[in-house]
Amino acid sequence: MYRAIKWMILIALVIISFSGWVWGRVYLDIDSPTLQKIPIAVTDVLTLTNEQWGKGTDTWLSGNLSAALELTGLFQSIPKEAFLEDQKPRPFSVDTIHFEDWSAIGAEYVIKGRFNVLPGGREMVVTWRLFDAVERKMVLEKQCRGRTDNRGDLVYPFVDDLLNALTGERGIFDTRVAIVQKKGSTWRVISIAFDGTGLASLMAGDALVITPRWSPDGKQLAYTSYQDGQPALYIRTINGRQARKIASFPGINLAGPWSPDGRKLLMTLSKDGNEEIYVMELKSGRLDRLTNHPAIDVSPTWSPDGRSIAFVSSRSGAPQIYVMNSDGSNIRRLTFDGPYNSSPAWSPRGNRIAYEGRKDGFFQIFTLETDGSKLVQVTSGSKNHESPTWSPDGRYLAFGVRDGGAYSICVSNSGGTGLRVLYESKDPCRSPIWSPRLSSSHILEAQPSISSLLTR
Amino acid sequence: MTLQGPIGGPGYGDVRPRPMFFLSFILHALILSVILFIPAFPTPKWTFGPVYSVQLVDRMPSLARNEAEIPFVGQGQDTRQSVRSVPMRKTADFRDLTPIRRINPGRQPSVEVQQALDAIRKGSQRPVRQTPTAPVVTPAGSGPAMSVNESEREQRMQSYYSQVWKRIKKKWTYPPGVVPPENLEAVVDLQVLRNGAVVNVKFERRSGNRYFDESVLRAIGKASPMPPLPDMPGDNSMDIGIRFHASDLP
Repeated sequence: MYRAIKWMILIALVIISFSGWVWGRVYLDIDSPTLQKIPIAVTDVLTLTNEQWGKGTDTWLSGNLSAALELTGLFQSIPKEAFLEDQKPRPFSVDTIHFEDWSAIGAEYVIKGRFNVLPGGREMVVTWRLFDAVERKMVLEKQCRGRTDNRGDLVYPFVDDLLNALTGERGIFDTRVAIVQKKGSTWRVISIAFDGTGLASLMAGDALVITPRWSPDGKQLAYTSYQDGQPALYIRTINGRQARKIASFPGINLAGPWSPDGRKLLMTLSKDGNEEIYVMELKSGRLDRLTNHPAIDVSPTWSPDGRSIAFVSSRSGAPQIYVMNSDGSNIRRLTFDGPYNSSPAWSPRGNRIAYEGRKDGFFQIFTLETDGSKLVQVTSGSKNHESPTWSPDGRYLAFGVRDGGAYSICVSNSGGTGLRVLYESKDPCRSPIWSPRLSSSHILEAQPSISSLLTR
Repeated sequence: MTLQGPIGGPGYGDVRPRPMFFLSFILHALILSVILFIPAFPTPKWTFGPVYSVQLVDRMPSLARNEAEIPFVGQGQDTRQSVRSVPMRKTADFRDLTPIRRINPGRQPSVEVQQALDAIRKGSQRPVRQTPTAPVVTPAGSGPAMSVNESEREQRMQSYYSQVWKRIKKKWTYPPGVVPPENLEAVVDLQVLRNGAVVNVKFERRSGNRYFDESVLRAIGKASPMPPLPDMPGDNSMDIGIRFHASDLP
């Protein structure tokens, strides 16, 4: 009898304490995170060789790194005056760094570096380390080697790896923007790096050149030129002098973008009566017509998966943007706001299309979802903004700006913030086209790196 | 042992009742604990978001003076009684929801009750005043009036939750463009020790986006350590769940 009662009491206690446990946890609801740049501290790079080589290089390296990080629009460099860490020992590893000194000033990440000038004095090796001050660990280490004044080799490869570790996408420091410029009587296609430096001429001549288009591997350029007297379509390699003629039909032959696999080229031809969109298979030369309408159809752009094409058509009475399948079927109108919309550019992320649209007398850049929703105005002001082009990671837009007699090419984040001038000139320059990633290191190999964020 | 039912009745005879007794006891205990479970689902969710107050009924000012501004009436509360010293707030202040017995100021309140009321009033002054203020949903099972000690503990807990919420919310950031503007939600469980240290941080549910999940863990990391737990008997640690949510605004 008593044994039975003991068991009953035991079971009752178990059941009641069980219910108490379920009752215990309270949940808090937190929504709306704050969008804020990542606060990062970049320390001066310490030299391991003779002190005299260190003069100026330590700040030159850290200064360029800070500038590159700020250029991405994702980071906020903490000023050096705020640093609490002792300058003398300059700890370099997880065990020796006092992370409290860094989180106390609000730094979420800390970058440290060591450099070594190689014998001969012309090249150096920099070892960069990225530390996470919140989780107190090293995220990434990278060695860069290059000429002592070449930040492209010494700084940017590390920034690329850093961006890959923290945001999942490499930076775009190895991309360039091609621009058409008329200097006097010479027409040039120039290219400029993402940070505004490294101006180079891709081609120059007396003949009018328009609509340059990078191939997906960055090695060739398609464009339309009047060099043979009529607007014909050419393709040339970036460094070569030879150009081969691809299309020279009667009427206009306007170069359009390459397909994502590089095998086809879109073009606008007027050989069949009025401007229509065609696609040519480059190897065989086979031409397929995509649009068939008495209105003007121009300015095609491919979706990143190659399955859709957006273009401009005046079939509604004024230029508006339409979308169709890559075989020309299923044409539907995309833009309904504004009296004049053209120059569509499809984001490499696939979800949005940028275009120029007339509003209140001036052209502005807009973006909207591919289903036509969520229209965003990217630029504003009493100037004309034209020809938007996306960066390969879909984060930035470059476009031409015309303000009376002043011409410039500007870059901003896809939402419109962080506007800066990439190139400006008194000579007309227009038609910016963003290149794909140009360095071979963007081809990701399966590398075991210390990017330990991946292990979670 | 044997039991005998009434002579001639169904239980008559030498039947061993122990297994039946056992079975019946277990069934009763199960049913009882299920009844105890039901009020615990859904689990109490505390949100300290913006408070919207709506005036549903146009009340004449003369009425307000004599009646207590009780946001809603709990079971068994006497709305005719009023407390002179409860601060009248403009927005619906659900903090006053902790059901305490209100007393008629005409009567002389006993000293202990007056002291208890002072303590509770003090407790309700401490929590966050700046927006967003905290509409707190009282946990289920607190329907009938609780004893004054428990309601004071409730006030302290509410205040502590509010502090934890504020600290983590302030530190939850990520740069624009890294996390796509979609509806993302992650739930994290953690344990706060008596000295405020945060341990056992685990995902109860991930959002599916690596950078969103990373930002959530970093928010907790940046907000740690929490303030020490309020003074309470028992409880060397506190289990808290946090639901992080971002809507699809760009």
